[in-house]
Amino acid sequence: MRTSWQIQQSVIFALFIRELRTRFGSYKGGYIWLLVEPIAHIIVLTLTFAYIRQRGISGIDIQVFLVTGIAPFLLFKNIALRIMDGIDANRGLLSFRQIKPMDIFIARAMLDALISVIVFALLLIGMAWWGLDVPFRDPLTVLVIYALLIFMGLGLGMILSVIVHYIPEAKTIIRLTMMPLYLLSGIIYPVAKMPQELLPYLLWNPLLHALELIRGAFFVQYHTVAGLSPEYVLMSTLALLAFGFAWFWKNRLEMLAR
Amino acid sequence: MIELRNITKSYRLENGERRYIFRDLNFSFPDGANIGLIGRNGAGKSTLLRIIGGIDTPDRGQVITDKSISWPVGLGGLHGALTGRDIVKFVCRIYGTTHEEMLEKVGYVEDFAEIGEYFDQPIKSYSSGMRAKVNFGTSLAFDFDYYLMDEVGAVGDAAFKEKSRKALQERIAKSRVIMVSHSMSSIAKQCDVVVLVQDGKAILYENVKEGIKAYQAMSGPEERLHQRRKKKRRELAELSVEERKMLRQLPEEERAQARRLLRQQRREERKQKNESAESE
Repeated sequence: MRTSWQIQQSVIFALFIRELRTRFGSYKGGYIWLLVEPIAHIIVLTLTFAYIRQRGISGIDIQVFLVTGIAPFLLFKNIALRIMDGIDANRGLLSFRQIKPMDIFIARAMLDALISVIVFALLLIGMAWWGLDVPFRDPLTVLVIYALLIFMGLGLGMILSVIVHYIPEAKTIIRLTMMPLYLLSGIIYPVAKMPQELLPYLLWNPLLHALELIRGAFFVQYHTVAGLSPEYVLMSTLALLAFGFAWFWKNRLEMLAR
Repeated sequence: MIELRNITKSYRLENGERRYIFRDLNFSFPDGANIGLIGRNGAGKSTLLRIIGGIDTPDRGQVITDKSISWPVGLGGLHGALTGRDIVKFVCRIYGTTHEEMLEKVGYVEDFAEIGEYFDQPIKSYSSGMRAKVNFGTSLAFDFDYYLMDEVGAVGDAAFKEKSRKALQERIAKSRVIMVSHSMSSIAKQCDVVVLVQDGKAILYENVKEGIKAYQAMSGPEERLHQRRKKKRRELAELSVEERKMLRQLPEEERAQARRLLRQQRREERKQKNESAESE
């Protein structure tokens, strides 16, 4: 007899492999694309923004600045959107009683987190090798914030999955909202250079806190704005997780019914 | 032992109201019997099967059992982007088999399903028959005390049906089936008892024939229409193209009779043929 923990482990492993298989499984070159696609994505974005913003920040290479914002943001965005689609994409597999929706969410979050960490590391190493200045002042903070972003994406993803179950049309809008969120989270511009009268409102956005903290942990010369708070990121993550989980749990019977 | 205790299950309708399929249903399935679930469309047969299989959660109540039960094998399920081979491996991983067992089971399903190269194609390119073959084969690759089957008997050609029946027969020494079907002939062939699901109740008939009779007696207009259409299709299937063309030219009300006459003719022809074959 297997314990429920053993069952859940093998289920998450099976789902993880299934996500791997279907993400790029049918393409030539297979799993290489798992890394090439996000790397290419980030490089294109970085080069574009770096070209637009000729004037850098004193003492910081603009490419490194952009990558340290884009990569964590994409981690958060990908996890949230993947989990939003998680139930529908795996509906057929829910006819195995061992598979619970939470396993699907965890497997998807794990895969995207893993890809993101590898991609981020490769890009940092690549940029250092290229001759850019990649300071890594405070790895612990980066690690902690990165982990919090994973859980934040998980929480938001669960909330979104309930929303799109009842309002399928919302999917497009949600995807579109990610663009302004991009701009509002200080990925392209240092937050200190954003309009100061808006700052109190911008600071409501926990993503902005997270990304600024990561930037601050990378660059010594970087001027983070006043009022950044790791506790705020942690509390928002816990709140999103708790609300996401509770809301999903309340609606799960409806969402899983066929 | 499979026992339902105080099962209540409802669905929310589009207009926000709740429709109750079962309210405090208590039922105990007889041990050691192949069980057929019958009832009208929407009576809750498939829901009940899914609740037994543990993939549908009742609002209240529980299923108590000490048996191992398969997932509901049916036309649906599986994942479109995965190949047949992937699915078998996936199920093996869920059940935590060793690598050797996995290879063995993949081989078994590949042999059983007989879908050739399609076994390595995404499931979304399968016909419903192929899907069911893979799904059914996968369930047979594992040992369960009970196999849950939702309209599985209805798929595949005659040869595959025969093969499935045999494969199940081999299992029957230690396993049983609980099946949902609208085909009373396959229920009669494969089940020892039937359970009529109706108005949120489950009624056990130890005698299959009696159960089927009770079901047919309550058949609504929908079922009767279905039966009539089926009969018509059967009759048409025996006719040649020319005969069908001829039928179409007849006025509406004479068609049914002409169809019957032609069918009778066919039957007699066949009889004569058989007799002459026997006399040779």
